Amino acid sequence: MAFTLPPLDFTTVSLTGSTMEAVVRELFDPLRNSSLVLDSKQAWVDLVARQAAGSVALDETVAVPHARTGAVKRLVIAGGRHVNGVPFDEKHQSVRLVFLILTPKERAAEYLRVLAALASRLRDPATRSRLLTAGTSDEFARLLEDRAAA
Amino acid sequence: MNGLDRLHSAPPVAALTKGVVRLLRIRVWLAEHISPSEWQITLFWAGLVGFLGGLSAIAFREGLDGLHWLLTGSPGGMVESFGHMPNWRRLVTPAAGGLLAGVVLLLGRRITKGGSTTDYMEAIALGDGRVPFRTSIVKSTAALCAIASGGSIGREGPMVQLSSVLASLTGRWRRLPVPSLRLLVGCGAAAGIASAYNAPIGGAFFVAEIVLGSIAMESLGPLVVAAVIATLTVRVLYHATTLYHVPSFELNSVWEIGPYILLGLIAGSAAPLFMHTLRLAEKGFRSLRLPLVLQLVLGGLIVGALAIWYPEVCGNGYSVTLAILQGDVAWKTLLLLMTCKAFATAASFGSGAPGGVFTPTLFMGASVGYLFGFGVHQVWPTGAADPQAFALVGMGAFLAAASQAPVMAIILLFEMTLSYDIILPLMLASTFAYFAGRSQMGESLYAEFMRRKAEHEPELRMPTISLGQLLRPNPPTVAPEATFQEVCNAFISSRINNLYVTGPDRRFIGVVSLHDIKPFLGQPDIATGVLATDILREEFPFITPDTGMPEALAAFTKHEIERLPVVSDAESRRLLGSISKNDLLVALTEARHQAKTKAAAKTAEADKQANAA
Repeated sequence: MAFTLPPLDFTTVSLTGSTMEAVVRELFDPLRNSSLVLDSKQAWVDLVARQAAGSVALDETVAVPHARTGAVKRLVIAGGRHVNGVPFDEKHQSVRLVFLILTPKERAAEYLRVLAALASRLRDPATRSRLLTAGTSDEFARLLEDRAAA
Repeated sequence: MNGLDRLHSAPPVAALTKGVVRLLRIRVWLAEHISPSEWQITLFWAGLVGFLGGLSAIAFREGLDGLHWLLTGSPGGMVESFGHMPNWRRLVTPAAGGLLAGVVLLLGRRITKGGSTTDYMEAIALGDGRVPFRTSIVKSTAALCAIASGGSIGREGPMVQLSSVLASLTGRWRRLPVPSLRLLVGCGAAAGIASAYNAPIGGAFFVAEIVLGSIAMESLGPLVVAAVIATLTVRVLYHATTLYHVPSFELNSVWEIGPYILLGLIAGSAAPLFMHTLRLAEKGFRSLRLPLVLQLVLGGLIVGALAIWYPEVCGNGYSVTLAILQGDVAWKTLLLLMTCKAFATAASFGSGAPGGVFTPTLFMGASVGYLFGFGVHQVWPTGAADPQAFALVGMGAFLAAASQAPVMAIILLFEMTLSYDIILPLMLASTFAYFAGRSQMGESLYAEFMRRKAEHEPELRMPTISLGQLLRPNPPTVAPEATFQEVCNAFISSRINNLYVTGPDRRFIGVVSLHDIKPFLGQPDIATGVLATDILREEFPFITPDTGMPEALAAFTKHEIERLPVVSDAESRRLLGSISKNDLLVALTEARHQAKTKAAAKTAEADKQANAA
């Protein structure tokens, strides 16, 4: 079954933080003042709580810090790349692609749907390597937007 | 190794997770294509109970034949054996049977140590579905002695009891909640009747009509399955065939309908009289204040004494009924025989010999029907061309009035004779008999029996089922931090659609729905980033033990779910267990029946008081 990945709300290819928290904060900061997040304090608390509950890394290279939160009315997604790789937990020491996902609380399967769509894009080694080498944020976002064009 | 290479050599934990997710995908596929639903499982256990019921019926018949041979030295039928005996032996044999039955009951009291005497009907209608094993075995063994020695009593009683006790044991082993356990015991009873009379529809309707008081498919379905399997078991293993082979009867003229209706009214009046006689006999024996063993010996002696002149009074009356239906008994003989048989049944039943009065009831009905039909034939041949057909209709009418279950009576008669042509007069006469009987005795043989029992044991009276009793404890749960692999494992190891998620102190937080994760089972690579909390449904309905049944049912109708979580209270939400929709539907069917019975009992009581005043 194919799942559609909604367009990224925010993208950066120049994540620089040296810890997981710093990287997640880098991705979250632009959202803080956007109209997409109704209560940024709550959203941050929920993100941190989810990270404390268990790993958010999908594989060695990819991590998806996320939370189901009452602070958003619709799905919000921000993507970024870390050139050198950052440790997320013991098993995932060099995460380079990070996607921050906030989903409304009442939709149980929404996170799974986005995750499935994201994973199916990243399963393609070519897409993955182009994401890792994309020159600009726009190029990065486009690579995920439309698979056929990529 | 660069990033990409590392990606494709998955670490062992991730590989394990993927394996579990794939396994769950297979399990979901199997669940959707092969795995049974709750009602299919109910029907499976009903079928097993039917099979056990059929086996127990065969075992009881074999035991009966063996003991009969030992006591009478003859392998033939009851009446035939007694016909070949010298007078002294006719007198002594039923008494010896009474003695044996009494000794068994006395010894049995030691084994059962004052345990409850619950029989199947109480267990279904009044109790908690538990039919005591030892008491049932003792009672059935005593019945075996009383019946094998010629006691004028039916064998269907102990057969149904045995079948029910096996059903109760099966249900208790499965740890079924009370309403489902009662239903399974009902299946046992239906299987017992079905195998005793080779009548699956009658067996199912007997329990539905008399004991459960409902023909809702939730209860009738399992009863039908149990009854059919029981009948098949007996047919295959015991080569049972139609019980009463009768010549083909038909409605010879439309004018016959009048006499048939009259027969219904007569049978409807005679049946209460017969029941009254049985009750009087019971009181009479009790007033003698004899020890139980002597009481049973005395009952046996009375039957034996009558057998000196009429060996036909021995046994349940089956062979004589057959002879009446074939037209082999002259009316004068039959008149005497009917009177003696009534006395003999009163003696056996009154002295406390355990057994059924079902078949003796059929005998009385056949006699009344034949005599009436013969009488009409003498004065108006067109009105009753064939008195034997009247005998058959009389059986149904008498049974309808005595049992107060006309539907069951009509079906049972039809099944036992497989004579469809007689169905029109049978239906009419049974209906008239039912109403005539009801206005005379107010309550049926079974209703009265249960009322008396309930008076003696107040704790048995009308238990109202609460939701707490339907609760199945310890449902599988996971913590919100459970990994996707743990969630999948829980779904694989138990047959549920919603996995409960609980926090500290078993606080119910929500559920993970199999429906939600099903579309993603084909993508095991997403599993590592998912915890139960990511896919939790928090707005899942729950109930507390003091929720009313209608509210619980409303919750089930609003949401398409098979089970509802039960929590201690809305505040602390401590998970106590879950209840299933199936159990609730069965309990509601029962509750409706109980309300009806209660109302009927109240009316009867009020009538009684009004009459006394």
